[in-house]
Amino acid sequence: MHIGQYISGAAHVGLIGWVLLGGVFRPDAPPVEVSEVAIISAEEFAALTPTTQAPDLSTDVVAPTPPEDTSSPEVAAAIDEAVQQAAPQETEVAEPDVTPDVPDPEPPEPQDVTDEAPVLPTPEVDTAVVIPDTPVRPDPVPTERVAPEPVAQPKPETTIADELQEATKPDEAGQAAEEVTEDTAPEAASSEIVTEPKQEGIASAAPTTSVRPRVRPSRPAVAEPAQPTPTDDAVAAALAEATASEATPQSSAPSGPPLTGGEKDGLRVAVQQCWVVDVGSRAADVTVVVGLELDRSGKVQGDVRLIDATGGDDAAVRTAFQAARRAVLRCQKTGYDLPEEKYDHWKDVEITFNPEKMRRK
Amino acid sequence: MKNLAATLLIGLCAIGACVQTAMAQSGPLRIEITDGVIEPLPYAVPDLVAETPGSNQISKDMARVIAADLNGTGLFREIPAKAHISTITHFGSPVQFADWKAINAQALITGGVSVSGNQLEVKFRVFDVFAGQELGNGLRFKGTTDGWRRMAHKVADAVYSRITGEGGYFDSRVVFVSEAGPKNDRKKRLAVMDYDGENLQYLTDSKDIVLAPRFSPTGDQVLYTSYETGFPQVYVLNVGSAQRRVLSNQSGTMSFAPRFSPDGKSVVMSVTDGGNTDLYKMDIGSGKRTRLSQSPSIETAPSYNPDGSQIVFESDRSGTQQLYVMSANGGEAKRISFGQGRYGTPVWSPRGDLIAFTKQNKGRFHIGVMRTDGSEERLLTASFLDEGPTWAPNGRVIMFTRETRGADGVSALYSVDVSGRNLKRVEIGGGGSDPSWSPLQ
Repeated sequence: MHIGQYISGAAHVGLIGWVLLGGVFRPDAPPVEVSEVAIISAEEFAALTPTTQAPDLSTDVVAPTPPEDTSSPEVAAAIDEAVQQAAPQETEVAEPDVTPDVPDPEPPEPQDVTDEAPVLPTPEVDTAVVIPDTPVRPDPVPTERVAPEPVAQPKPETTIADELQEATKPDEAGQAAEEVTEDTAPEAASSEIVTEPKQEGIASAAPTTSVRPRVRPSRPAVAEPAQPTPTDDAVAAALAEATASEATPQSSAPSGPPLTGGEKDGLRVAVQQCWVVDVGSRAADVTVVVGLELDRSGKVQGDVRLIDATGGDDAAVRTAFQAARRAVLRCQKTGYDLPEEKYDHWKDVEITFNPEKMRRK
Repeated sequence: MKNLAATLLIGLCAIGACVQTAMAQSGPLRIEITDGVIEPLPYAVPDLVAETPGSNQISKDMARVIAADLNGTGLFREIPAKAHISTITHFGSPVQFADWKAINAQALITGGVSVSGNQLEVKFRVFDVFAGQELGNGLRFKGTTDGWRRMAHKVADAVYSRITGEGGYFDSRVVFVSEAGPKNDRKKRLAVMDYDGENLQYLTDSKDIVLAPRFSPTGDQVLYTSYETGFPQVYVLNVGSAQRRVLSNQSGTMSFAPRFSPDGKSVVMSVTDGGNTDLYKMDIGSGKRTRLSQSPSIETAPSYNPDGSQIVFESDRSGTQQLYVMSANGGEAKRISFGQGRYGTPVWSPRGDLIAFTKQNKGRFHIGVMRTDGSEERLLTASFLDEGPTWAPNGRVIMFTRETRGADGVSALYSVDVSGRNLKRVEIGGGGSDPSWSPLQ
């Protein structure tokens, strides 16, 4: 038994050592870049290099001037002695340098040169970067209305309405249209409050910097319906069994697929366009949660009720709730557009009205 | 091995339970809305019902004043009478909400007026049309026919309060310096008017230069600075009787920039003594003066916070004109303005949450607001010369002076919402400067 373990252990150690030291996981050595060279002799090299200048052979040497006689100090009772001066040494005249005997360069022998043009690598296909057509967001202009999406000023004779439509006109044959209506357009709106100092800053709509192109979003993977396998069935059965006890109390939970993100967004956008926020008031500091019940046509049934509120005093909470209630009731019109087959999922709705973002406008 | 398998199964079950819980929507559908619209609220105010003979005209006039007050805020938009489907013939008759919904009226104001002799009675109701509910209960005011305009302001204040949840400012007055003539020979005198420019009255003649009037907390007195003696001195004037007296008359000193404390018992002002200007507090009853600042620089334009515990003022102690806050009893001051340019004439909001100021930067003047700690500075206006902000009693609107360029330039009063919207000129039939808003009457 132990012998087998020893053998197995030794074999594993050997295998691991071979893997680590034997270079199994080493990547292939990078290819050595080779370039061709021509070999030339020293004479040829000397012939290619420029001759060096000979040193300056000037022999003019300035002889040092002897020192002038200096008067000896007057010393009483002292015998004047001649001041000994060192005799100037004669400087040796430097031997002129001998010009080195440089042999005349000989032209190098011609070598066989293959007159072939180097092969240039084929350039890659130049792909122009297509800058996405990102619209430059215009500077906000002062309007009476501030909304999430700015709306351009309609023509003066246009009637303000929710939908954009043009008046019907007689056709070329001169026949009158069935119904003549007037031009309608949504009311002009800015995306933010424009104060007087901001208006001064609006000098040009031209962008000061180019817009960086966005990264192309990755294509969402299309999830194919997986075929149930025996394993899945077993897991599903286990899950069902495990959660059976928890699911029992929630037997009233709606069945069927829940609302999609788009369907929820549709309801959110429908309500928010009627939510009027007074950003200068204290109600703009209050976040309220309201609850409501919808019938199958999407209309509000009964009262809109206040569920929760954070921030502000009682008066501010009351005002914030009234604004939220008006938003829900005004924009329902003939009923919110929600899929009837999912009614169980939107029968009861709780909407949180959070004005924090609005306060920054 | 069995233990490992059991652990894996339990883990799978737990994950599965979580997934299933997440997928199954339990409870109501929940959404959050963070984007709304900022626009005037459409409302309708039909002519008030004339309940007695002879009250027809006054009922129409009152409705127009109410509408003008609400429209003037920039928060409301009146739906004209020609678009109304329903008519209100009796004050107590039920409201046909469908008719008002059809014209997108979100609020409806109904009222009745009765006149007996010179006695006037007005009553009103406010409805949330889409909720089909009355906002609050009906209310009734009594007064004289001479005061019909003020009664209309009171109705508008109540309507404003019920819809916005905040106090109104329509039944208030503004004292200011009325100006006439060219810049080099301008006649100045104190004047008082309703907030909307009506009922203008002059309080002084134009013989002497007058500056910076300030209402008392009760609205019956006005502090101002006059050059009557050749030096600037602070006076207090009774608005009703136009009687005045000098408040600070210490020889060799100049006093200016006065402002009442919130309790009305004392006045804080600047006093220049020996070439140095500091802040002083004067007890109105005893005349006792207390020095609040001791600095070789110029300290001026003091303004109390609503509870009277702090004072904001301007000072050039840092080398440039900036805003500082200190205790109402004096002591160390904390600088709160740090932006570019110079800051002056700070005024604490009646709400207590903001400080309005004048800012001079790059040759332009601005009216702006900031939090009381100096954060979240926002500039609301910009012009050749904007200065001297004053708050409406509800802390929602700021009135200030705007002067135009050149020798022919004129001073006028303007107002702007604290959000920076609804900038407009206050029509006073002439030039004006240094406005000070009274409390609600």
